[in-house]
Amino acid sequence: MNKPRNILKYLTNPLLLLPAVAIDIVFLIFPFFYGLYLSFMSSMKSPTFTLENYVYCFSGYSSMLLTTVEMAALITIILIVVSLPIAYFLAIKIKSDAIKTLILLVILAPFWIDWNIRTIAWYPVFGAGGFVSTIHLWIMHALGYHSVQPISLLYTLISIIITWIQSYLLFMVVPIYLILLRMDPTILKAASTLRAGTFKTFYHITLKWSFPGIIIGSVFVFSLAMVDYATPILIGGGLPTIGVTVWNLGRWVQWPKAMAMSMIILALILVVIAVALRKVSVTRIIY
Amino acid sequence: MNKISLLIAVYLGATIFLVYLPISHLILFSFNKISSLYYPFNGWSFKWYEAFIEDPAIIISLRNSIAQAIITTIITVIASTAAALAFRRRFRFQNPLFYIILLGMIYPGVTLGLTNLIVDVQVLNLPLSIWTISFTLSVWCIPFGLIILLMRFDPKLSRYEEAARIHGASEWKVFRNVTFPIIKTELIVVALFAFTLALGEVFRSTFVSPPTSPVLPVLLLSTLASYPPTPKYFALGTVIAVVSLATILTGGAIMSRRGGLLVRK
Amino acid sequence: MTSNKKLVVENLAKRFGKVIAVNNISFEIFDGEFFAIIGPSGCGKTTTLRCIAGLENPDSGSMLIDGLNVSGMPTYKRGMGMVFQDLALFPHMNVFDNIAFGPRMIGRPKDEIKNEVDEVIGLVRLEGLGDRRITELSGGEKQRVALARSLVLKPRILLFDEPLGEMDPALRERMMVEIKDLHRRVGFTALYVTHDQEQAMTLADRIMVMNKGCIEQIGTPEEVYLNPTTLFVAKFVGTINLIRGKVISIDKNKKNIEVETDVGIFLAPMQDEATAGMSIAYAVRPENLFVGKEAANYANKIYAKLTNRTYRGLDTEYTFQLSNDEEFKALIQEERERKIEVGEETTLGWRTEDAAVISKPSVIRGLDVDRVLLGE
Repeated sequence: MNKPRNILKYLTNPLLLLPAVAIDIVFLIFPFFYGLYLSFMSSMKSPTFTLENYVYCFSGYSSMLLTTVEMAALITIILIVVSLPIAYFLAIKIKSDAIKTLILLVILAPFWIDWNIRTIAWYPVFGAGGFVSTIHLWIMHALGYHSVQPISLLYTLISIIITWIQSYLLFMVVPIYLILLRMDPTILKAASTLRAGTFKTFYHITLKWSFPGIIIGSVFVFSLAMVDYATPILIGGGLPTIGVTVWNLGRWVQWPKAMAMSMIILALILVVIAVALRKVSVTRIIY
Repeated sequence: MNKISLLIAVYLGATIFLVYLPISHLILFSFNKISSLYYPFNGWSFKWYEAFIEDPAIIISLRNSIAQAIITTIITVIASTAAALAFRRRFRFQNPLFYIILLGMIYPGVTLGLTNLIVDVQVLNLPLSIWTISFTLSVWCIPFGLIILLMRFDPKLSRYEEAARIHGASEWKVFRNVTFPIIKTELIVVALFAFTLALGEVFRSTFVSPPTSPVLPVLLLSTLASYPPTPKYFALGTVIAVVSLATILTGGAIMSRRGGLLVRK
Repeated sequence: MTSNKKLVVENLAKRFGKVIAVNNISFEIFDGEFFAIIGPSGCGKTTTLRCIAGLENPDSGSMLIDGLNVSGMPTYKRGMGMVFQDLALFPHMNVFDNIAFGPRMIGRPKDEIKNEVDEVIGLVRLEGLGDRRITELSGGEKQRVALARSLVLKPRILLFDEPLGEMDPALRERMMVEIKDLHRRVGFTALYVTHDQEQAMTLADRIMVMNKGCIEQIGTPEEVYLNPTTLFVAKFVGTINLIRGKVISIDKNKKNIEVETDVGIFLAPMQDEATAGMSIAYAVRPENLFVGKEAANYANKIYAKLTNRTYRGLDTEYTFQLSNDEEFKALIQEERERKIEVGEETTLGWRTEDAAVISKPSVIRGLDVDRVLLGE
């Protein structure tokens, strides 16, 4: 004979999840489906089913799509290379927790400065008459060239990439750092007693261990870079990326087209996530 | 420290240099006497600070930003704490639900903002307001909060709750007397995190921000996209930078008092 | 003995997915009794405890405490106390608040709470430590706070979930004495779960041996030690020497059984279930073995070679290797120690009445003598 169990206990969990899930459904999932529906509509006023929005995107913007993907891939790879030594150093070489925290905060602090502000802060660095330009002039003068025009890196691909390094560093360093924290550093010592040189150790052990972190970080950086529109606008001189395009389409109330473009981006990102999930079990890491 | 460590330390120094290069210029040129963002530096002046304080559009948008950030923080703390508490146990649909919540983190900001705008305008006929911004940003902030909490929760928390239950505490009493006091600090960390995230967010806010009284980042983006920046914005930026950094350092100090940054030891 | 039945468990069952943790068990605990459940990890003892505590919901079965059916009742209403393995003392409270937690939760009036807590603090000898934070306490002090936290509520049953697991042996000894002493003074009913049969033997009035979700045997420590009903219990409780054998004949006059094994033919007291030809395990406890010249006087003898000698203060444990390569252990008190060197061969002897024949491998169907001997 079994009385009905603690009903409240069964209710608690769903109730606890309700706020987060409800917000997701109302403000992410439902708008997504509406957007999906819109992407197949010819216009806002008299909606008829059509594929013209997608045709428009693919025909007019396929090269831009490719360029954006290339840019995103580039920054991802650059950030992997840049972040690995940092994460390795912090996680493994520094023993004191306090110093670890301090250095992390110092490196990542700019992340919490307003996006626009820290982007335009690059103007005095990249622009004509700025930091880079001034140094370049000094070098040129020292080498004997005296009538050199000041260079400006503004509105170039380089400036976008470097700005992105600063903007997205956190998203690559933190996942790798967290994963490496779980590695017992004595494994590396053990490897060296087995005659593995420094680089071999790094490759076989550290790299393999940090792999999940690299994957997670890459997913973040790639997805974020793909749709970033503020940086290309402010530093890139409006370099047309997907993000900028969608932003423009949105501003001009070309919503069906904007939605079609968004869906294409989403599909791309979902593919990236799906591939990543095969390599990494996020849930096992978190809980 | 061996050679490799030295190399990496130098590398670290270089990275920090790179990261702080623009910020140091930000601060420097905010004091520039003339309206130039480029060398040579012309002398010290506070006039840009006065300029932005006296700019009504900036001040109003700053107020909006703070109001919105507070609301977003409250929503995020409640939703992510509740979810984190739920995720400690196994239950059906645990993984799918986790991914759904996590989706908000990685979902393109442009799409999130735009789709919400469209829904508000077309479907709901809802005027844009601080509330529309807050809820939209919550979608993005909640996964951050969830992950921070799950990684920082004391693994013995469930045990304490069991002990409480056995000794006479009903569910609500367990939460009030045991769970909440123990997780209090983590909630503050999430709050600080969410606040700073929401304050500086621009990708999503741009679309769901009321056009006549936007939040600060949105105002800045539209202004700076159309007109070249002046040191006035650098002054504003410096103030924001100082406040943000202070907040994060406080949060970092709190977090590291209870074990390492981000991970409970 | 017509003591009140404090706890009556009937047909309790619980499974986790495909694994059956508790397999339809029934047992009773009497008022004021110290009842221990022992068994290897995974046998279901902790799950049983948690079902009684209300921390797990059984799939079926009923639990009556003081006649009250607690099966549907939420944990906090069941009026029990529990000492956890990791103690689970509230880290954000000091000693006093930890102990006062229960009374506060059930709504005792404030002034009475202070009296009750002080009383219990005196009972467990923690006077003066009320203000301390939990982190400042020693292992033994923490243990006593855990006990106090439960005792202050005058629980119907005091549950113990392997509380002495993470202690060093000296502390464990002291705590066992304290728990036993507390039980004698206060008279609470205790349900003590452990995998350490030594603790159970020391503390319990009755022991229940569990295996793979089933009850192997319930009895007093003496019953379980001297008269194990199954091979599993014999192996689990204390050390025992076992040899596989077959019953050759039964002598109804002398009340003996004759058993044939690889290493010889031995006698054991008669048992009802034993029939000729039956495959059984022949058992004799190490403390009942005589070594060397003395062994000649006894009815049962075998040759064995000494492979190891472990001096343990109170006694010495000798490990022998029999001619079939199996191991026999003997426990010799110091005074009767014979000087035998490792590698030497000698004779071991024992009385017939000290041996036993165990026919039942286990309560679990599908296990035969061999498998249980191997330790399944």
